[in-house]
Amino acid sequence: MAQRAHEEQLSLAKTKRPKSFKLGYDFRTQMELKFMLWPAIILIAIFDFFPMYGLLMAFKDYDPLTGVKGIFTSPWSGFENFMVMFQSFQFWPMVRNTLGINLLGNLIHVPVVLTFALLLNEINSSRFKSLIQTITYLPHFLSWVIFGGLFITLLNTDGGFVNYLLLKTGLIDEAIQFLGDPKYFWGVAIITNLLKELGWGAILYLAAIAGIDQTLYEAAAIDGAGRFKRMLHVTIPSIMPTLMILIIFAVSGMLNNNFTQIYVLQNTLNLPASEVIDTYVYRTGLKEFQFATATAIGLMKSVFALLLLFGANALSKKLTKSGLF
Amino acid sequence: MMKFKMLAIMILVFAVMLSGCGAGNSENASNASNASNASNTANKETEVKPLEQVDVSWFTSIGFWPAPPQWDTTPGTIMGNITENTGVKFTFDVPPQDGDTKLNLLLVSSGDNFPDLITTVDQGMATKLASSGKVWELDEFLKKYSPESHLLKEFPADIKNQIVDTYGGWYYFPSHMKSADLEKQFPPSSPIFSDSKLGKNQGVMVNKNLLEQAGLTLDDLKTESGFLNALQKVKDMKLTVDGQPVVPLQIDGKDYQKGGALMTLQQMFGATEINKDGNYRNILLAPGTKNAIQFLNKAYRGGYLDAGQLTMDNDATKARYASGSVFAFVGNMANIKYDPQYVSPGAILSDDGSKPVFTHNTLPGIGWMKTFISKSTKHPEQLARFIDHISSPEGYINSFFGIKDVHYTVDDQGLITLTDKHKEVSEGDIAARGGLGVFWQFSNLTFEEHAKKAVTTEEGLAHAATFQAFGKTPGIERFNVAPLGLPSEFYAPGSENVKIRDQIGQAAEIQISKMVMAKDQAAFDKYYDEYVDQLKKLNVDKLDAALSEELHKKEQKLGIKANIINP
Repeated sequence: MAQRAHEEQLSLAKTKRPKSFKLGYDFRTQMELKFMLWPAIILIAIFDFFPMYGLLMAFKDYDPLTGVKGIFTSPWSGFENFMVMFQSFQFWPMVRNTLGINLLGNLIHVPVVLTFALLLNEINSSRFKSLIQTITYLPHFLSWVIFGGLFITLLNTDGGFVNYLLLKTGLIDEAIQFLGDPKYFWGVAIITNLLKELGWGAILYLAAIAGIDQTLYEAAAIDGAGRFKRMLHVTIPSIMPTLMILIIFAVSGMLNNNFTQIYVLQNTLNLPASEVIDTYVYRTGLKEFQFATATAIGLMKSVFALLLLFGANALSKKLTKSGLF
Repeated sequence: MMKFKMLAIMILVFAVMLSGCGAGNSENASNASNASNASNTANKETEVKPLEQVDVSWFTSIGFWPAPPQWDTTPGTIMGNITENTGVKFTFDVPPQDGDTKLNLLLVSSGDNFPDLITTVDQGMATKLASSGKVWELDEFLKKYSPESHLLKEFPADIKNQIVDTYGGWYYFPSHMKSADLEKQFPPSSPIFSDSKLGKNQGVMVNKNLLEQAGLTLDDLKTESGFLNALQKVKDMKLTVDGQPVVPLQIDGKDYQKGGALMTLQQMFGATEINKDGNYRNILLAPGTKNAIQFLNKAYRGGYLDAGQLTMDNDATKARYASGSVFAFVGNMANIKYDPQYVSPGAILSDDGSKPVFTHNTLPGIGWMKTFISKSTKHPEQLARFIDHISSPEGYINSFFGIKDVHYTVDDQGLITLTDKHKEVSEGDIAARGGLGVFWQFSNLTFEEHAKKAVTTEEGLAHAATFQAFGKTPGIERFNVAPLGLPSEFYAPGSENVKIRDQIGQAAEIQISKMVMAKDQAAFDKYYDEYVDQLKKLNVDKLDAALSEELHKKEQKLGIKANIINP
């Protein structure tokens, strides 16, 4: 009976659906679902689309003291603000730092988090599993000001635990300037981020693993696959779409850094390795009051992020037949 | 009989109630009379009607300013007296860091919710505020809301003219006022105060006990190499204080490039902004600056200065200094709590024979802190009354010296001496301070030297000696910075000059840190060459040329030629 009703619905939909897409053709269908979507659409419209008029600043000789009105009334300056950015002595270092921290970070973050989720899934004792999950989730809920502050103290050369341990075990002869020497900054940024987000990052993978058809595992076990083989040949292929979506997001976010993390760990000594696009925008826009230049940098970043998103999506579709859109 | 008894009891109760009320009234009347007397004393110069009490917001971008956490209107207290005289009750907004960044955002986005009072120390921020149209020009403001204010007649003309010259109007109330016009109003109470002109916050302090333990004297520390040798000796001796190893050299922490150790050493090693031709040259490129950075690098390489200090915050620096385990401190001595155990050898003289430079300004200062009044304030009468009150002698005495016979005493010559209680409260917990001495925004140094009795206690003299040791160094060159003053439009927000200045500032900040931490002399020289190249690429010469033009204009206007020292 239900099967028949379903077929009728499908046939009705087929007859009603126009051959080419027409805006609003199914306006009256799925009203409840659409109703639930509206708050999100309104929020995005207000907070993401409406403020886009501010992008005009990137092409104008804008004086912040003229307020919102000045965005429209200030004179056009072409690409001058972009030139200021390209001519800045910090441009290439900040691009290098942004890409370096993100690229290396993701190369480490994705496999480590995935492995952690796979291992967590293999734990039989639910109490032990919960304990591990709670411990690893906890840092996610701490602000970077606290978590970063903790690491600044731990990595201190003057009595910091890490240096103390390394010195006592004889691994080093003199304390390492983890936050004072630029060559350590990328490592510190990547590792602290991993420690903070390990548990939280594993949630998505665990959710995807939970949705895998158990009969696949049973079939694999009957075929003689051990735990490792089942993980390799059942779990990983099954969560591949989730993995690819996360990788696409990671690639498109390649120019975004965790501003708070970098800002908290940054100091004048590590600045050559810690100045990233986001901190530069903050410094230029808010501290130096050059809103137009900061907007130009932000706009350029968004354009490249969009290109990366399309590129990563296309690549993913080609390689794994799955993508974001 | 029963009725009579009841009647008698009722009459008695009624009589007692009446007398109680009467006593209460007389007590209230007595209190009111005292309060009135106090109020009358406070307002003896001008009889003004009390204003309604209002809540007023005060934003300040100086993160370490000790704002009272809660405004206390209790009569007879410092804050209570301010409220009684002016009607204001303040709520403070003091971001612990990046205050000017927050102020930038407020400036463009707060609309009518802009704070009523705004204090900044940054000249660029002051320029923005002055040109924003959001703050009052004080002449206009006072004429409108307090036409009888003493400030309209008595505010020192020389300071006012300087502010007008720089910002195009009298837009703010300056702190730490000291000027010739002001001295005519308030002559110093003692000739001792004339020595205060030799005082400077930047300097060197050495722990007397550790000096003695190391078998050294202040004379051993008067030259660059002597000072470094002394640090080496202290390091080698592995001295301890309360079990903690002695730190041979302590600098200001992460602010060492902002008015701290670097500036101190630049002055000691004779860096100035004037080159051999009498033109402007960025001080970052002066030979004295190179020597100053080199000194810090030698201290780092010698192991006397640990690199952690370059990222240390002010609280940690203060705590380390207060522990007594610091042998020598170089930097801004006002950023740490004065300890009589520390004495100063004066300037450390450069090994290359450069003369130390003592900067001074023959023009009156235009204020370290600059306090503006917002045009959007809903309580202009109260604010006008407030600035009038706190800058008047009685208002100033209340805010800075406290309550008579508690925080200060007055001798038969009418001169004020601060009590131990004043010291105890001033150095104590912010919440318990009750606002005593916290309104630095209205600090008037000339008035203090007029109203206070010169301190002749051992500690007072030791303090003065430490802060004046640099200025009293034999052979020191006095460098008048008056011709270096710039009109605010020179660094107009968003202008090319600002962009060049900011880029240079950022590049120098990074490169100087690299030089300080250079592993050897070759690395230092390489970094220094990179630093010079970098500044040249960032158009330092172009900015210098523009600054030279301004310098010569100012020299002509003032009739003062900038000194050429250690070119």
